Amino acid sequence: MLHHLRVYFAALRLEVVHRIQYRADFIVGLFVNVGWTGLSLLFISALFGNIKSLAGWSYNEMILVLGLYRFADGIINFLFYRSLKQFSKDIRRGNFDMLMTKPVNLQFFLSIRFPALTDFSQGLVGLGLVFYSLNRLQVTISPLQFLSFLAIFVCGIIFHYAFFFMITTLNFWLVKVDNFRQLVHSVVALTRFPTEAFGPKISSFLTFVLPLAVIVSFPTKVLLGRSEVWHLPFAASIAILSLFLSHRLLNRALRLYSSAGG
Amino acid sequence: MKKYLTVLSLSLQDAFSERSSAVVWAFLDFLWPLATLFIWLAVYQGGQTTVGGINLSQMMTYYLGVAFINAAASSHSEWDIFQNIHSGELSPHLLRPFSYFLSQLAASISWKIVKGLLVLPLLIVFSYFLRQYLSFNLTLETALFLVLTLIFAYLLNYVTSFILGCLTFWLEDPTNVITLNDLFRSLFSGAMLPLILLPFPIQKVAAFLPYRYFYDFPLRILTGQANRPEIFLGLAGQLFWLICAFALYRFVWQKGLRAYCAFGS
Repeated sequence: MLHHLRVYFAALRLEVVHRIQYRADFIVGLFVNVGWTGLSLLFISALFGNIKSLAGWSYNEMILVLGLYRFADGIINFLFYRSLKQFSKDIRRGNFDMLMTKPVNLQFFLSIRFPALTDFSQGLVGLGLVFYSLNRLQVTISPLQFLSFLAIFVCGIIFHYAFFFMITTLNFWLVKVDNFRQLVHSVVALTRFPTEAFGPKISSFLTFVLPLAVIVSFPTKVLLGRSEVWHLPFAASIAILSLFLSHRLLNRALRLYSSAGG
Repeated sequence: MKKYLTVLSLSLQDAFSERSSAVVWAFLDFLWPLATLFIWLAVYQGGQTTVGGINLSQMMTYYLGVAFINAAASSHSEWDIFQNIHSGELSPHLLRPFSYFLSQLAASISWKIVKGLLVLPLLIVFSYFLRQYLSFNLTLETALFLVLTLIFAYLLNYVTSFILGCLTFWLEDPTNVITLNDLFRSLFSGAMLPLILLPFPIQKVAAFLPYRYFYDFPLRILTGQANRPEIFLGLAGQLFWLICAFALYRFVWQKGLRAYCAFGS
């Protein structure tokens, strides 16, 4: 465990040095992150031009969902995005052999070796929006509510990561596909709106078939005091199951990879 | 001319061999416009009859139109060009007896054809299931103008993406600049929201930028909102920006090649 933490902090140090070297690019990246959030805010403002509520969600509640999405997405991108992008490239270009010889858990190493500081700033912008909207909503959150929120939010992060990882692992079978990360990013970006906004059928699909609702909608409902009893156990089950499946899928892929190498 | 037909043929074969990626791109072209369409449906079903003067039918048609234009007129060549320059794979291209600009255009057109074969059935299926909401207003004349405007929009997109890819001559990684362009295009083109729903200052800025010729202008023709003078003026505007973009590409390419060769030697 300590060894893995040391590996992670070494990767983080390299990223900080790199970002300091390319400051202009880092600043443009910050501007871009703020810009995309601004665009989403503009869109929500246009939706609420003449209405007070959309599928039972008010304007400030939609801002809360957006903020929590940007925060969650920022965490995932900071921790895993560049690493999984590189993982995909390494599979497609056959550079995988070296990675398998590293003295560290393979899934861990593949997932964290390139942290992305610019995306951490995106998370901070999202967090800012969360606090802003909670203030506007004048919501008081009890300690129990906060703990529930934290638990479901972490489950959402785990599922998001596992989903991203599993889709990237598909590159072992679909070697020529170079746009899986755009696919994951675009699909998960649906969670910047509460699932109810897409209508009842799509909302059910996004809760029980592809449970993206666990990532943002569920934790938001906890903060708003609208959570249901089954949300937490459901989110925990999804997190554990998806993490387990991601590990199994990687092992299966490695068996395929090794046998191809002879 | 014959060599470019050969290049196109080879590019088509290449694109067909990468059809799995094309499936993903086709899906992505539709995902967000359709998701937005369903959100607007929820807004109108909440009791709104019009939003900014746009009724439900026009809004549904608008976003299906965005999906169609995503597939028909988009260009993502900047990423291939970035990769070629960054890795040095541009060098063999420079030795070949044909222009890199045109060979990349051939590759882009090939991708469009392969993606089109996937997108067309998707478009028909979605149009069928959403038919009660849709309202197209096309005559033969406006349909021809629409085809012309989409060709211009595609070429403008391609030249812009080529220029963005060329930034790799100077920037180690132009990803953030490319993403910034995507952001501006989303806002000022009408892809994210009909321009009429944007704050007035943003509408004023959008009127002077080329982005509106990617989505807003073709969509106005598709939904029958553009009259003849507006169509001719719009086509002239597209041509103007195409000429400017082409001139900028020539300038950037010449400067970039000098930087690339100097670095290599």
